[in-house]
Amino acid sequence: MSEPRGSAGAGQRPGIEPGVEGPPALDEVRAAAMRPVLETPRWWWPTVAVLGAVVVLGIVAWVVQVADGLGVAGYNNTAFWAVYEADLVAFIGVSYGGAVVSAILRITKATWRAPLTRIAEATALVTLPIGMLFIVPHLGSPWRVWELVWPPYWNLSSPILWDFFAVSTYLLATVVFFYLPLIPDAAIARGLLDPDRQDRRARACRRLYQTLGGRWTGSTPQRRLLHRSIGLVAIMIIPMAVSVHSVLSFAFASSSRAGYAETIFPVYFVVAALYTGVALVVLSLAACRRLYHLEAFIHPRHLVRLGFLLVAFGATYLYLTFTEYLIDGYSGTTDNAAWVRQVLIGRYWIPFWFYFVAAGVLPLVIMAVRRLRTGRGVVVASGLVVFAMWVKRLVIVIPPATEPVVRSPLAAGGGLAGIWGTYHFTWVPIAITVAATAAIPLALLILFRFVPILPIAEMEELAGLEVPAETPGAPAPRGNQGHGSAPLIGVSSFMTSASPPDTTGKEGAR
Amino acid sequence: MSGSISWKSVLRSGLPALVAAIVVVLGASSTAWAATGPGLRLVARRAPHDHGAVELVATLQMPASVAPSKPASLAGAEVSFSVHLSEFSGAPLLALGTATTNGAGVATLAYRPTWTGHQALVATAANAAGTPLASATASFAATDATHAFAGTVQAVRPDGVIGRWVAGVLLAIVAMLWVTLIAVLVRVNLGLGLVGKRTSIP
Repeated sequence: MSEPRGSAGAGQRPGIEPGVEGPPALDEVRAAAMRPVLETPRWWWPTVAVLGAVVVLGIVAWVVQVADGLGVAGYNNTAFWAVYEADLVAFIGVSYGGAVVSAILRITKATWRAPLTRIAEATALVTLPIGMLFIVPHLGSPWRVWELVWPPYWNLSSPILWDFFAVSTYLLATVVFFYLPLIPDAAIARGLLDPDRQDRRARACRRLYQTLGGRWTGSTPQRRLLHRSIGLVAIMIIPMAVSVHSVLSFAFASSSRAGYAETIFPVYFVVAALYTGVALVVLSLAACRRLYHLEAFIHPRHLVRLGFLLVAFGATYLYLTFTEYLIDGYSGTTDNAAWVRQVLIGRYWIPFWFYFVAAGVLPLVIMAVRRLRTGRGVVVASGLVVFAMWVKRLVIVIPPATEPVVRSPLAAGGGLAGIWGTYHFTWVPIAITVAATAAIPLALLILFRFVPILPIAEMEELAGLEVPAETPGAPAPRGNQGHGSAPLIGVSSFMTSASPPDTTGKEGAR
Repeated sequence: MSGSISWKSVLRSGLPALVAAIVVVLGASSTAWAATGPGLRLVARRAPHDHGAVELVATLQMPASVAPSKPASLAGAEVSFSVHLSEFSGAPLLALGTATTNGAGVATLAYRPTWTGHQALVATAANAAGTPLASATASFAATDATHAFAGTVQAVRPDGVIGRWVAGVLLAIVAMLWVTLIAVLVRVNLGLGLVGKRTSIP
């Protein structure tokens, strides 16, 4: 099997600066995709060191919690669920956006998807295991986690067990969904590595690429097989994402506690997951665009289009929130009315209204006002959404957990005791939550040290080039014959079609 | 049936003396009295109009030497009622509610036991500034209990109601997803080699 094309030529687009005008060239795509692998920017090690230190601090906090008990995390017998459950829901939720966005764009054959899919899928890949890990601090006795997976201990009546099945199945799907498009890229990346470079990382990359893409020749049957497989997994992953987060909501919805036992929760959780997931994809894209100089490929208009998706999910979530509170408040049952009152005007009004403004209203305003509807505006909106939706998860978890359910009425009518429990944040859950947050960019930085950050083959294919491998007998490339300076017309048609590209980040306003 | 006095809280309040009484009523009762100081007497008795409920009556009392001169001081004190939980180590207190004393120093709380058997109750009286004045404990054997949760909870969960075949079907779906995903991986990896070889030969 012949080697895939290495450096695709040193061609430059005459008179055209990357990302400013006209479509990017093939060699620019390959260079940009491999830049994080081949080069070590000055900021890389300090950033990794800081993020790593934050992660270590989180691990220390967890060790303290294991030694001293869940009490050091602010848990008590009147606040039995709190920040870790909110973290579990929030972190697993954000992982859905990347995979679902990528799957939808693939199924609908959106040509502008190409520069986004790798980063979106990588975001899903790293956030899901981090989210799953929150089950460990959430359990007071982490050494019993194995009982969750050991069949003799299975409790088929427990939503937690089905959560485990659903999330682990989804993790497998995410891995497969990330791996399949990587096969041709690995073959291409193998040829782009300098053969004279023999340091440890270069050897590791070479081995990795050989393992992942060793059999790839780029022939038409191979492409057909790969496309069918990716298409199948893309179709599978959307209902799986929906089912996974709805199953996660069962842990709440199937309880008998007011505020948790909500039939709307499965839909509510799925929409929340997609909402925050898209927001995190926007943040990941913006960060990678800036840090790895992908301005020629990831355009602000990409972000604005995702911003519209953000608005759709945000408005839906806002409506579902209204529906939930309206029905629970209107029903007038003592326990439901009590927690709704506490959330809206009682002890939890600050976090709830913070969510309402930051993740409910502001993103809609940003996308509605033409001057604000820019790449930068979408990034700001996404940042607000990610944080405020985490706060909203706290509002979902903590108020019902602290609501008294013991019947000890002062009133003869049989009301509740009326004494609410209290959850106090301590440094332990804060450190663990911040550590998990830091682990996401850390994992992405490390992942992109080994994996091309752009889907090279997909971008070339969408450009109509079909040139990833120099295979004897392989069909001749179409379009510009696959030379290094060939413009990626398909990829860039989105960028160049309507109006001249704008580097100020205000394209969305048009 | 037994009664006892929580001396620590009283001593912490800095008050000079204590008179406390605990009377426990559910069938039989017992009472404990202290000699001096403001004290609290806690009584648990069946609620007259609510079957299954227990009426907790805490009576704040002043010593005979000072009571006549300060009759108004008995009113307005807040009494907190709690019960010791038996499910957790250390028998932590579960707050039941609060009530304010009337002019006679009596505060009443209706309590509906959520489990049967021995229950240890604690009542603590505090003045308007929150300073504990006195406390008392009592215990009784509850023979009638209402479920702790507000709603009606079925003891039997879905696998008992719907049947284990539902869980079996769901497990089969999960297994099918795993098999499909792994089959995709295998098919791609094997297939790439096969079709790659075929087309790589001119």
